[in-house]
Amino acid sequence: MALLNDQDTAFLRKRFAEEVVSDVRLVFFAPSAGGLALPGEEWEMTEYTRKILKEVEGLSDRVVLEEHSLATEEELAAQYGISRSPATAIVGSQDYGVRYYGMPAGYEFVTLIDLVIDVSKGRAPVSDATREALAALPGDAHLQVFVTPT
Amino acid sequence: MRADIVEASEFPELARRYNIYAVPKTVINETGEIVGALPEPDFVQALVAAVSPPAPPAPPAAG
Repeated sequence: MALLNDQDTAFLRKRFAEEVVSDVRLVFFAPSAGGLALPGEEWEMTEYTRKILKEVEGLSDRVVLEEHSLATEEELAAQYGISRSPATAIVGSQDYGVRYYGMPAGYEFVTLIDLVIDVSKGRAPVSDATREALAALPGDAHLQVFVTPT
Repeated sequence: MRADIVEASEFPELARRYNIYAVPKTVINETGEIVGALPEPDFVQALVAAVSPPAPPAPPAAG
């Protein structure tokens, strides 16, 4: 059964058609290769994440889902700086370092949609003052934003 | 700059490591933190402070 209902799908298709301006890859790392994991809580969350990403891929020809396994493709995961799963790198014409760890459910689904749009534009929707301040940062910054689905 | 969004309940060991008791909470370079959703200018200010090297200690008072 689809996770998104017809109304949401139609709305998101339209939004993506208008706002996803270049190709975006959803590079998904599951904990293990498909089918090898024993069903359990972690397995369910991974499958749910995979399903959500699959449906997001279906919203636009510009969005492509790549499915990988952290267990068997550690080297590739390392190239994306990923050592935990389920993890999704949201990659546009460049890798802007945007990662989503866990299941983008509930309110966080909107976060995923917005990230796809921003990455396609290669530009975050922030003010010029913010842009200047970030360009002048004295060092590298690694942000980990902790969220819950509700 | 890298930005990770982490679903706290799915990564309890990270939530423990960074003392996540409320969300959203943003951890910057392991030690800096911003709790709650701040207006953009305030968030940027906190981010700059977290990334900037600490100010040198004040010189000892004369005398």
